[in-house]
Amino acid sequence: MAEGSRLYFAVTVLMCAFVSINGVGLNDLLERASQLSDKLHSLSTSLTNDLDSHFPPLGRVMMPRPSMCHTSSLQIPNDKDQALKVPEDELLSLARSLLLAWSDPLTLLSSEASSLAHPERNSINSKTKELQDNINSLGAGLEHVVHKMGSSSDNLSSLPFPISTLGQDKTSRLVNFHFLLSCFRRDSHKIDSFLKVLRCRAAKRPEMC
Amino acid sequence: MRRDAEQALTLMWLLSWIPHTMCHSPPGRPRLTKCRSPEKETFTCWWEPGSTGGLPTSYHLYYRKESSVEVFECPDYHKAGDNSCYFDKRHTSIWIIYNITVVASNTLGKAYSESVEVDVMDIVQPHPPENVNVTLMQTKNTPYFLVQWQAPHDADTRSGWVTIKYEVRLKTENSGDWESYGAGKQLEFSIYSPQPGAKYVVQVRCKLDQGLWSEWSPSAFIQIPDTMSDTQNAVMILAVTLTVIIFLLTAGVLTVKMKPVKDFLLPPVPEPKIRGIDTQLLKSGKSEDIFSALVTLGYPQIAQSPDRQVEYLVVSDYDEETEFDSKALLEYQKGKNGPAETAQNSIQITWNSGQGLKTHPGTVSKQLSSTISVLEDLQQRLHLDANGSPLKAQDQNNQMISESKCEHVSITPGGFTGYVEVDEKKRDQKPLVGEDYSMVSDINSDNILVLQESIPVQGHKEVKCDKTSGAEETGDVIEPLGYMETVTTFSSGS
Repeated sequence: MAEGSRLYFAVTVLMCAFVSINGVGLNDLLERASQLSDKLHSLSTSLTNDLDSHFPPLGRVMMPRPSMCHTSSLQIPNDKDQALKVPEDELLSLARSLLLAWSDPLTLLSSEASSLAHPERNSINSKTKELQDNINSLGAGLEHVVHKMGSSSDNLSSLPFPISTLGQDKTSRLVNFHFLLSCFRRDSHKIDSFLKVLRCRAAKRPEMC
Repeated sequence: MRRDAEQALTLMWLLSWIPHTMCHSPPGRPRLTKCRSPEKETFTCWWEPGSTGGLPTSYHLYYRKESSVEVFECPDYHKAGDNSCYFDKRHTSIWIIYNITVVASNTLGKAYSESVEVDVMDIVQPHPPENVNVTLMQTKNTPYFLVQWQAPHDADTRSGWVTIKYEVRLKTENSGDWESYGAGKQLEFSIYSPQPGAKYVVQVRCKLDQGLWSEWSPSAFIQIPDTMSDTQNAVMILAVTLTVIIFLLTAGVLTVKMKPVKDFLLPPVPEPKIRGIDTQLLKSGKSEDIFSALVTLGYPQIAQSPDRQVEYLVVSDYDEETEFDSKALLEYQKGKNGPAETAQNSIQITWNSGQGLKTHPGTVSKQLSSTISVLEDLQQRLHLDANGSPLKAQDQNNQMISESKCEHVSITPGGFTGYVEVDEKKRDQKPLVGEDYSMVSDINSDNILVLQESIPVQGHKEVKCDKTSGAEETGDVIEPLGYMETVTTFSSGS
């Protein structure tokens, strides 16, 4: 009878694992994802403010244009009416593509943050690390959402990040750091907005939004 | 003098005209002060004009979108008031940088403001919440007031395009410090434990996602009534009343349970009591009990002579099936005669016999004799001074009279024959057993109680009227005996 009870136990554990992965509702998953994306955006905003506190005026002049962000080629809706017309799985893949495009750059940023020529370096460093962790967990969460929604997971746009270094001198490094961060801040806002639209579409009760 | 004044005035008047005609200049640079988007769908920009240069100046706003060279002009100059430009939905794009410039122009020239780069996502600031009202909720124990409001009408939260968050702040009118509370997404907020009698000022503001906080809503006022202290008073009164009730209950319980307290609060009223006769016993009406009580009063020698016992046994030893109806009325009558005669006290014992009672002469006589004995003893017990009057026992039925052979009965104070000696000083004689069962030292059988008396005897005379022996005995001081036996030998139906 020990074998029977063992089998029963194994089945129970498997069922629990299955339920824990797939048992969470879609709107709960999206709720959690939008909380993470909100956190992501607020972190990037606070990082930008930290950098702005001691930024050389010359750096602003040198700053590359936002259109030079490596994600600018992605076609995204630019106002509410457009965004509400986009189908759900496309919105989701846009969010995931953007998120994926930033995993490499964040690695670069976090490696550069420790040697930044800035008085707020420590705070910037820790926040950058936190940003990386958040991106990873949000990416994992969105994978679950994809499975839940049943959409194909291979229509992600590829947004390569060819840059391997931020620059040679400390000013250009600082300026490029700031520029990358501003690109990221904008993209995190996009991700946040798309996920929140998705969350409200999936919500069973409209007053949840 | 006058001329000089006139000339000066003319000169001044002429000079005042000069700026109007000659000192015109191109306009000063305007300045863009702020741009705001209340709902992430439209936005407005305002500017501050520079100097006009003395000429009518017109202002134009031009913008360029990121990654495009095309220049557009402001779509609406009027909707948002003077010196403003309103971008409607069609002209608003998010995540795109707008490069905005204002140009002031007059006939003499133009002036360009500094360019400002604007992304709609950075300038989101909603309108304040609407219809803020405060109501006082009077619940039983915890009064509180409820702040309610509505979302700004242009924020689209239903589609999820924006997520709104609120904040409430309040202060009393007197104090200068605001207390702020985050209210999340809800449209109401409760403030507990307000100060009674205070007037509160309440305001609410909101924020969209990570944007800028709105302006504070117009203040809502609420006056907390002073009656809240009345509820406190009511509570106090209730508490005091309960305490008083509990105290009274405790006193009542103590009174009932504890005799000293009862005696203190409610001193016992002395009852009329006939010594030696237990009124309760008479009321209970059991013949054997009454007999025993009456008999044992005067016949303590029962224990010593079993013959006598027999004699009294005879009374109850009866052929008939019915027994004596157990009613013996004892009447103690005080003499109501005139003052000439001494108060003649008589004790009358009335036997109510049951039906079918055969009157055996012997029985009756014995009945009578026992009655006489009882009477004698009763006299003694009751400190009666017979003074030579013979004891008479009268049978009402057949008028038999038997007289006691004892014609002289003297009663000494404080004593009755036999074994129970009572201290002279002690006037009251306790009933034999009565309520005080502490005197009982032993119980020999169903019928025999052994009492213990340890009171020393005082000098007294005793007279015994002895039926069987027919002799009078005068006893001397009798030393206190250790005990006295009271025998209750009568039992029903024996």
